[in-house]
Amino acid sequence: MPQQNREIVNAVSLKNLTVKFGNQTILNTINLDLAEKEFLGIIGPNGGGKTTFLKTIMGFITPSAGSVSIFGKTPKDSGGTIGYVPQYSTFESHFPVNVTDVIKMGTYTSKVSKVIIDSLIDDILKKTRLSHLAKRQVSELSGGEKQRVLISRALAVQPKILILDEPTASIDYESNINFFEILKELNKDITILLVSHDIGVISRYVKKIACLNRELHYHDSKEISQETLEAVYKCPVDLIAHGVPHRVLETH
Amino acid sequence: MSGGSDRSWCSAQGFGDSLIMLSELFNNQFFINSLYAAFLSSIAIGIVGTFVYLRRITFISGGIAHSSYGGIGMSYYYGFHPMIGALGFALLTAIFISSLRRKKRKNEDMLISIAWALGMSIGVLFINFTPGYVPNLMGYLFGNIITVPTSEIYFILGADVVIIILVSMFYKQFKAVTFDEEFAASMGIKTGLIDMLLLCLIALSTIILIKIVGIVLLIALFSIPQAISLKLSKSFSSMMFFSALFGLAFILIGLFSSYYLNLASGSLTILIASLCYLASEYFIKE
Ligand SMILES: Nc1ncnc2c1ncn2[C@@H]1O[C@H](COP(=O)(O)OP(=O)(O)OP(=O)(O)O)[C@@H](O)[C@H]1O
Ligand SMILES: [Mg+2]
Repeated sequence: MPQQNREIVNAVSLKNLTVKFGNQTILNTINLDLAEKEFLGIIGPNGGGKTTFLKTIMGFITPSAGSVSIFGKTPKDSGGTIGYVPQYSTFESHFPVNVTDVIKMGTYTSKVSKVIIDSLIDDILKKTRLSHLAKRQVSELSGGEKQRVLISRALAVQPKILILDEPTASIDYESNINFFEILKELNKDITILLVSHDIGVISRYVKKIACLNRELHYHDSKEISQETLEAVYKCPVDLIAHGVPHRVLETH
Repeated sequence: MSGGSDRSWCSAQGFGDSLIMLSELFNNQFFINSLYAAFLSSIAIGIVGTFVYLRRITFISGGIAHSSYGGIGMSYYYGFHPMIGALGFALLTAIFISSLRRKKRKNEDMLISIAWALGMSIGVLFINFTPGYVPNLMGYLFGNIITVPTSEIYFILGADVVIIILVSMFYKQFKAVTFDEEFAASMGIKTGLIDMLLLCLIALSTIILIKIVGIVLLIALFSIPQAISLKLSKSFSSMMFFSALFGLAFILIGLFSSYYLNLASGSLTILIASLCYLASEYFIKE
């Protein structure tokens, strides 16, 4: 990293980002500056635009207006910067590949030697506790195991930004705790964007929180007001927070 | 229809003479060429066929193959080599489909249908325009492995070499995009370009397979060997290997049975492949 540039480059910077599908506005003039090594949790109702938001940041969706920059570059020029864990496994499980093969795909654009990659994969398998399944065909995995493979594959990218779309939806309790400990550790070096409906988890691990429903409600803090939540969800918050809203709503 | 099998090159005379005929065969340049063609086409079936099958774009390969007929018709009218016409049309279609199917989420089925029918129509029209004698084009439609001239062997060889070079250069990219396009894009792989390249490889495979099973039947060699191989494979590379092997076996069995039965080789190849597929469904437990 060249040091002479005093200006701080944000990990993610969105300016007036607007995304429309047809004449429907899915994301409405979103502005966000996320510094390096932030851990942003995003909550919001179904259909609020969370997945669209993440995909736009990664450049899969071209915004109708506004701009996205990843460490000062366009998403198209940011290959290898982002590790992505999709909401649903987008891969075809009939493929003739085993768990190690899939995780290795995360390293396909990296230039390091085979030996280093092999030890990296070993490390990740241990971290995500998949070592015993290393040679298992992906077609023979359970849903939660598959999800852990997706997480492992994103880690193999060794990204500067990790983008996770409800990564723990089908993961058991223990793996869940284990996974968030991994994220916490990673967050010492990298930036994390996490979409989750699990407000308990969000409140325990993230540094900043945002609420997304067409518009992004974000105040550069972990606090979010009862009014905002209710306005965003258009329903009493207790319902979506499983009765633990106070964890989110840090005492004022 | 007897167009597939060329009756002039030999005639079956019962099983007693078979061995003598077999030894004669190996002195026959056309027969040697058909063996070359069989081996060379198994390379395309193994490599390109595996990507096509796993990516579930077999019908795109059907569209590309059929469109090449336009080029064949044109080649007769203007008097250039049919393989050049076929390749030109197939490549144009590959680029057309791959660029439009991403843009604006155009209906892919519609693009395939257009390419499929338009190519055939253009071919037929050009043949209408061509004055005088136009040779029997059945061989291009349904294959006729025993009439592959040496000039076409060179085309097939060249196409195989290009396929091997491109796939070894971009193997990881092809694999990543085939497995999970969205994740590949998130890693910075140019998925649109890789997709277009894959469709161009299909175009190359079309001219490789055109004389083996023909435009119409080609689609079966991009699905049956791969479907059987998938049941036996635990990795991409083994699936490629088995697909090539099955492809080769089907073509050779088709070739020899066409010789003994004096029936169209392309159709026999597909018949055998289909029977093997049914057997594999029954016998191989996944
Ligand atoms: N490709 C598309 N074309 C048209 N509309 C779309 C497309 N993708 C998403 N949408 C619409 O955009 C809205 C936001 O979808 P999105 O998937 O971003 O929601 P989400 O917040 O991730 O929801 P969930 O919590 O269910 O995952 C939805 O109303 C959806 O119908
Ligand atoms: Mg979503």
